[in-house]
Amino acid sequence: MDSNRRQKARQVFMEVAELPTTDRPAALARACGDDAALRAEVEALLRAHEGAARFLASPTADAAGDAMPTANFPGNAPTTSGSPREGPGTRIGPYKLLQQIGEGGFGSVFLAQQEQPVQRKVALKIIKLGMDTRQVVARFEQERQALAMMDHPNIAKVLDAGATETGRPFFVMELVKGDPIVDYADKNNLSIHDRLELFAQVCQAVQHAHTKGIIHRDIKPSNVLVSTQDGRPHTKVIDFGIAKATASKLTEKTLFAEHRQLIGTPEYMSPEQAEGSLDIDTRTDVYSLGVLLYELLTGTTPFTSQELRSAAYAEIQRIIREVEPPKPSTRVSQNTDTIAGVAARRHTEPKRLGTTIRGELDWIVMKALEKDRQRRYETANGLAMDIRRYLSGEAIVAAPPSTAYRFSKFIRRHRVMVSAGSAVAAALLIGVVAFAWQAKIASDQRDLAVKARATADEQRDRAVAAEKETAIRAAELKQVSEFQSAMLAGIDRTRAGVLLTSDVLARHSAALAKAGVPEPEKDAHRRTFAAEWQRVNAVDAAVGIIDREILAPAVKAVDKQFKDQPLVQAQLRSVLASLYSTLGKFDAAQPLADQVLATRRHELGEKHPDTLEALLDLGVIHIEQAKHAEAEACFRQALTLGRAALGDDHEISRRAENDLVIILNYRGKDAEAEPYARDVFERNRRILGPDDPTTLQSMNSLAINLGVLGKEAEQAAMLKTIMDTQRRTLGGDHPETLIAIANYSSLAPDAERMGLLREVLDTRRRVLGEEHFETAWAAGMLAGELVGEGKLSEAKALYQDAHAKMRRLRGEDHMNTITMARGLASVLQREGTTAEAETILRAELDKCRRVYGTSVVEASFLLNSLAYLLLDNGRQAEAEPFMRELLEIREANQPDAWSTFSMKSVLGGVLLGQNKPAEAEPLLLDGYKGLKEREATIPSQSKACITDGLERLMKLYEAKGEAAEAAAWRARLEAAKAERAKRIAE
Amino acid sequence: MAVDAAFARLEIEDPEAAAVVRLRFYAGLSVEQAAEALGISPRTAARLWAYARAVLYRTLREGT
Repeated sequence: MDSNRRQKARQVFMEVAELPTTDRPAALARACGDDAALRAEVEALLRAHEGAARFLASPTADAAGDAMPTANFPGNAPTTSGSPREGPGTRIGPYKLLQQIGEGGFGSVFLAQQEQPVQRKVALKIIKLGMDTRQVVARFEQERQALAMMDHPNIAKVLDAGATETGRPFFVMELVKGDPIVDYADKNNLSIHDRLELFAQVCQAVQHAHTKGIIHRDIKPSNVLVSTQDGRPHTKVIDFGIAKATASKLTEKTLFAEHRQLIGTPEYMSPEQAEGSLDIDTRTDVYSLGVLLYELLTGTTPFTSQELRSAAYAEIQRIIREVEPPKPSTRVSQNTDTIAGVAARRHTEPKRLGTTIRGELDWIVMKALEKDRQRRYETANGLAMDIRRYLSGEAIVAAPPSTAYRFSKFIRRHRVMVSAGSAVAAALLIGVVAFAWQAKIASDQRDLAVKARATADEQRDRAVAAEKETAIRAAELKQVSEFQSAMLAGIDRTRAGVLLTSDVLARHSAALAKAGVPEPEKDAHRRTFAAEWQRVNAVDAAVGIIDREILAPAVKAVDKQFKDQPLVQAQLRSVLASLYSTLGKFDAAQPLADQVLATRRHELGEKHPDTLEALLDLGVIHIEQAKHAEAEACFRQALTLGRAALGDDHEISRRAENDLVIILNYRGKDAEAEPYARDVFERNRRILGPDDPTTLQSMNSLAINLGVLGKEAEQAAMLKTIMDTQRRTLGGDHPETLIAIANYSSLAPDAERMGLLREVLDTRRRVLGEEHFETAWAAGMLAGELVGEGKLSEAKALYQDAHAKMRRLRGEDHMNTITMARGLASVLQREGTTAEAETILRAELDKCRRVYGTSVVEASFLLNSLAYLLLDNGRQAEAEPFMRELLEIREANQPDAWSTFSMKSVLGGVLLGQNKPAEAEPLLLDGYKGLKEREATIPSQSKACITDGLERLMKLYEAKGEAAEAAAWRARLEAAKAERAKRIAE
Repeated sequence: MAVDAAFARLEIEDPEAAAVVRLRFYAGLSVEQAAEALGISPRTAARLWAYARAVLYRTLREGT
């Protein structure tokens, strides 16, 4: 029947069915005219309508809701309690019941004949009355796709589910013949070895289900059937998916107690199930497998049914949750009256049985039976692997911590790095693993949709529905990924490295202790190991692990699996780009950000807010990559487009303007930055109010800009406003306030400055305590100020303490540790302990190059300190390469800043000092020219760089013997000096 | 044919009616609630529910 006709029939039916029976024929004739086929169709439907009286009757549906006025219409009909029970001969859909083969608390199992689409015998399980059919079927539906994906020779397939005409839920399964595993093993007198082989098979089957996302929840001997095939035992796990569908709501304890036979067998129930926890995962099955293994080995479950059945329900719960069962070997030796039989059925003698089980098999079983699931085997596979290791004589994982043998293995295989690395990566980034996994789920669903489409045209609707589902999934995914990136925002790469180091060293120490290495040798081991570890760049190692294990696969997954959903793909890529940025891998972040931008331009147009946001994100990455010209281009474009499309006041426009100010400051285009800085600050103040954090942030940018432009009074006033506002809105103890105080302190009147810095330090000490890196940082700032005032001994003590703390709290390689070391070097240099200062600076520079590269500001500081230390000691030739490197960095980052030209001039002086006037000349001329052009932007305390530049030029031409040139420059120098003296006098 | 096979077919042939069944039968909503969830009038929901049931019943009875 085509859909057009179906539509028509539906239309007519819906009109006619509302009418009293007597009025229907006339209405039908009117509606159908001479379309006899249509009329026949609607009449058939109307007959079905009458017949459907009790069909799908839903006990919860209210009578008022079923507003169809027909007298015999269903909906409020009584439930099906009076219906006859199904038995042999009953037909249920395509299944004909042949004979009952099982009966239990849950209901009955029948052997049934399926007639279409294929003829075969199946097992049909009818759940007993009293359960909510709709819930059962709905829950089963949720798992249906996952169940369909299970394909394993040791798992019985669940083929179908539905409701019988009497309203009872039923499940159809592959028919499995065999005995429950424990009976089979006993009947055939299987040895311990054979029992373990058999059990490992079961674990592998359960593992397969787990990888498809299916938890069994009711593993017990009667659900693991064994038959002999080709002379070998073959296991089948049955009833997957059924426990979940038929479980009562476990949170409602009373209901639970009432129906406890329904959720099965307390002997095999995990502590979390007994508790009624809703949070059930695969480790519940690991526990039940442990019980099964216990029984296979000893002949009884850890808690016997006598123990449990005699107890009240609360007592059962307590036993399962709290009581530690005897080890299998203990249990065997306790059962003196039964042990002979138990041993005989295992092809062994009582004494040998105990010995065989004692030790490793005890450990394996007890690890699977841990009350705390975190201490169990992670997976069924882990359990199976340990069984296999035991069988092949290898060391098992479950060994108790007191033994040395794990360590010997551990060292032999050099796995310390790998295991430590994965542990750190896992601790940091569990969320991202979930991310990749979610992406996979989404793609699986999409694959299904595509497959459905390919199968037949008529399934097109279903494919559309599945794609809708995928879109919903993608939206969820987006939320998940946003949450995860928020979670990761607090992690920095250095911390990952520090964690990795401490983890590796701790593991090494623990391993030494476990191995029973004698005390005197331990230290030597530790030293050697620590020395070797030092050669590894821990930060890079940690970041490498995270990238390799988590982010790179996620990038690939997103590339492949969201090909047809460009916008979702772009969103996920932008999350990954920000994760890479968090870890400092900006060169990995950039191509992702490029793709996001390109996609959004193409899909949304270049003026769309999302596109502009992508442009801004890319610009921020470019700043970090030190590609400042590219960054500036991004921000300018975003500002222009944002203003045109969204208006000057739009959030995106304001963000673009603020970012532009920052990059212009970076590039030394301070004069150009000023109007933008003032503009965005005014807008934010007007739109968000004067106290808003964003307003204060743009005020801060403006203040920095004004500082560079030498407008110090205005700058100081603004920084003071920020400080005062935050004291008022956030309180004096708030970290942001403390930062604002520190910022203001450098411009505060001399009398106030030291007090402000001491206030910051005292607050940190009080709020955060002595052992906090922020406290150490505040001590460093105060120390810096003390150096400036010449209070060297106090400064030295503070720097030494702060450096030691940073080392301990943030790690040897952390940027803060490097900064403190540099501060200490500056005191030492001032004290005249030059050699020591030089050693520190060189070591820190090496470290900085190795860990962070030279694009970070700290590298410039170190190069600067080292170069001037060498110059001050007359070692010009040694200073030269550092000066050149520094100049190169400055020219790249701040090509327009006066300080870059000053540096050029200084380098020229260095070359001149080494008697290389030809090389010096262009640098000196260029440097002076640049300074002269930017004279207005040079702060007053630095204006001497102009006269210094003139002096160098004069000396240059003297050295070259060009007297006239030299005289001309001398005249300029004298004029400049006179000018400067006059200014200072004013 | 079992109920859910019939239902799967209805989902393909008439997603709108199937949606009402999903909410009424599987989720246990009243007609009013189902109507609200689907953004249709209660009367339409009731009519769709009657229609869907007739179709399902017929499919189960007659296997067509």
